[in-house]
Parts: sequence; structure tokens; C-alpha cells
Amino acid sequence: MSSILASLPVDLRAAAADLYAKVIVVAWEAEETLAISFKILRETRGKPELLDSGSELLDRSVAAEIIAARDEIGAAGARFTGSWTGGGAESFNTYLPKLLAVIESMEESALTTAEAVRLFRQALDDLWQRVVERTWNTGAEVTAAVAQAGGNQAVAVALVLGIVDRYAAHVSGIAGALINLANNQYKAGEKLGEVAALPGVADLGDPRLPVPTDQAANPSWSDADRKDNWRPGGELRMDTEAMATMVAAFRNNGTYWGSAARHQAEAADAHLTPGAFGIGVDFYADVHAVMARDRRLYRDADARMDSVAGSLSEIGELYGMIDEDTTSSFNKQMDDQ
Amino acid sequence: MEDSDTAGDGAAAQVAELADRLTAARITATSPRNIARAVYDGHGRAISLELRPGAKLQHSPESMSEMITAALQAADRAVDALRQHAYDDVRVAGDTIGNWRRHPADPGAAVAAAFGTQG
Repeated sequence: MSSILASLPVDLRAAAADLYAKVIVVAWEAEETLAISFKILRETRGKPELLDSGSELLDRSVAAEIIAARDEIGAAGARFTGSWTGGGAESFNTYLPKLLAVIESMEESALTTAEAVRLFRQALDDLWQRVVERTWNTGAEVTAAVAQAGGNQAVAVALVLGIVDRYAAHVSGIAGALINLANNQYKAGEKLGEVAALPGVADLGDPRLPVPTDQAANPSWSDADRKDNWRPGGELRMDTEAMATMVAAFRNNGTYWGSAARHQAEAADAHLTPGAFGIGVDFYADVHAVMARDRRLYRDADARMDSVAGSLSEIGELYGMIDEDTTSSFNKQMDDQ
Repeated sequence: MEDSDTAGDGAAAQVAELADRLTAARITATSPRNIARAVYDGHGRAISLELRPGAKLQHSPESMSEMITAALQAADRAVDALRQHAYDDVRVAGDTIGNWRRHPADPGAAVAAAFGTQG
């Protein structure tokens, strides 16, 4: 029993040791029952420090990286918007705020998951205080029962065994209720349910950027492509530096998504473990399902950003070929077609 | 809510006080026709056993034995009832131990309260 007591959290250890000491001098038969109850409680507690560190990683690292990704694209986009006119610009300018909104929803998913984990941790704390209190009270009940029995050992044993049985039933009942926590019918589960449906970058589709008719490895941009895709009407113009910044923002985004994914995986694997959640294993599974989904979205976002960066870069290069000095002649050529 | 670290000590103090009160308590039980009268303290220790004057002249030894046994058994029952009642009234964490016994806490309710379940 001493090894079991030593393995308990400090606050329960004190109450459990008090209860055990009072029980065992009267009813040695209760030792196994108490040992089982204490082991169940040890598993019930989980590892709150891991839940804390896991939720902090989601807050401070994962969400922070996604925010940085959004900020960089947003800042480049603010400069870029209006610096490019012509075909594709309108589509891209419509795409950009939708993209930022989707990235924001991924931030919110990380933050909400962290909040759900915190709510679960708080609930475990609350329950734990009740358990510790119940254990102290059971010790007090034993004190009273022994006194009530006076010197009658047989009566004392019967009373104490009854008390221990009720304590064990209570502990088992708590474990059973935790295991059977209904999905989304408690605060932490409900909070996690808020991110059950999350749009990803892929759901936006691609911006309808100008593309050449020939999609071969070395695409050629015909005059017809340029006319149809770049300049359906109005004047062709682009700030090529703003374009370069926009392209760089999309390319740099991979660093943020990669870092977000790494920190999120670290939170999942090293902190938000099954043991951290105690007996509430269903919530653990739900949290990990959300996190696995989000990591897929991060990878997808990274790939999609690269794709957009590639398209923009290609367009930028072509605009660079016809930059300020040649824009007017380019426009004239297009008009002449 | 009482500080859980002191809940056990609180009970021990109440039990000690209760023990003093039971020591001072006197439980009197009599046999049928009031022939024998037993007096115990609250712990069930015998204080005295009295016979009605002249009773042994009116009853056979067997009958006297039955009367005395009846008085002692009545006293035992009374002491048990008193002690049960007294210890049930020991208060820990805002309620009496007797109430705990009669209405054990529902573990499902504890989990529901902690987790804010919607049922």
C-alpha cells in the first residue's frame, strides 16, 4: 500500500493515508478494496501539467504561427491590392480576403481546441477536489464509526467495512461516469464541437489567375492568352515590387505552416497524451481527431500557398518583361490584336 | 465548505467531545413491573443495578433472573440507539454523518457538476 500511496498526487495522498491508517487498524480486510480505489483515482486524475503545457503550445506556438502567416499575407496583400489591374487581378483580389478568413478559422480552431482542453482540465480539477474532500470525509466517518462501536471490535469492523465499501462504490461510480461522458454534452466537449466543421484552404478553390493555354512544362503565353486572361478590358498595370512581396509572402508561409504543424504534433504526441486526460479517453480521441484534421489543413495550406506563389511568380515575371517602359507598347500591341 | 485538510481533525474533536457527553450521560432501563433497574453511561458501562425493595421476597430466583436480564437487555438497546443517534450527528463538511449514510452522494452527480453536463 505504501507504494500506491506514494504514487498518488500529494493532496489525495494525505487524505488517502489518513483514511488507510484509520481503516487498517480496525479492518485489515479492507486493504485491497482501498488499494483498488486509490489506483482508480490515480488514473482518474490524469496529468494536469501536461494538459496545461499542451494547451499552451496550441495557444502560444501553433496559433501564433498561423497568425504570423496570416499577418504576412495580409500585409503583402494590402500593398498588392490595387497595384495590379487586368484579368486575374479581380479574381485574386476576391480570393485573398477569403483566404485570410480561412486562415483565421484555423487560428480559431487551435485556440478553441486549447480552450476545450483547459475546460476539461478545470472540470478534472473540480472533480478532484470533490474526490479529495470525500476521502477526508470518509476518514472522519471511520473515526466516528470506531468511536460509536466503543470497544466492540466486531461492531467496529462491520461499520468500517461498510464505510469502505461505500467509498469504493463512489469511486467506481465516478470512473464509470467519466468513461461514459456523452459526446458534446459537457462544456469541454461542447467547446471542442465548435471546431468540428472547419473550412480549409482547399475549399476555396484556386484564384482564377491567368494561365497559359499550353500547360506543358514550359508553357508558352500566346498573345491570345495574354489578351483573354490578363486584360479583358481596361489598362494593364502592375507594381512589380508589390508582386514580388506578395510572392515572397506566399513562399515564406511554408515556414509558418511547417512550424505550426510541428508544434501541434508536439502538443499531440508529448503533452495531450491519453494519460493526460485520465479516464476521459473519449475526449482525448475527439481532441486528437480535431488536431489531426488541422494538421492536414496546415499541410494543404502550405501546398496551396506554394501553388499560388508559383502562379503569381510566373505572372510577375511576365509583367517584369513588360514593365513600366514597355507597358504602353504592350497595351498597344494588345489593342491592335 | 470546510477545509478538507482539517475535516478529519474536526471529526476527531467532535468525537472526543461526544465521548465526554456520553460519559456523563445516564441511561436507565427497567424490567417489567419495575422490579430491576439498570443504569448505564452513554458508552454502555454499567453504573448500577437496583432491585425494588422486597422484590426478592415476592419472586422466585428464576423470575428475578429473568427480570434482571430484561433490564440489562433494555439498557443495551437504549445505549446502542443513543450512540447511533449521537454519532450520526457528527458534522463533517457541512453535513452529518447520519445524512451521508442515509443519502450517499451520487458519483454521477459529482461528475455532472464538475463537467457541466447537460444530462
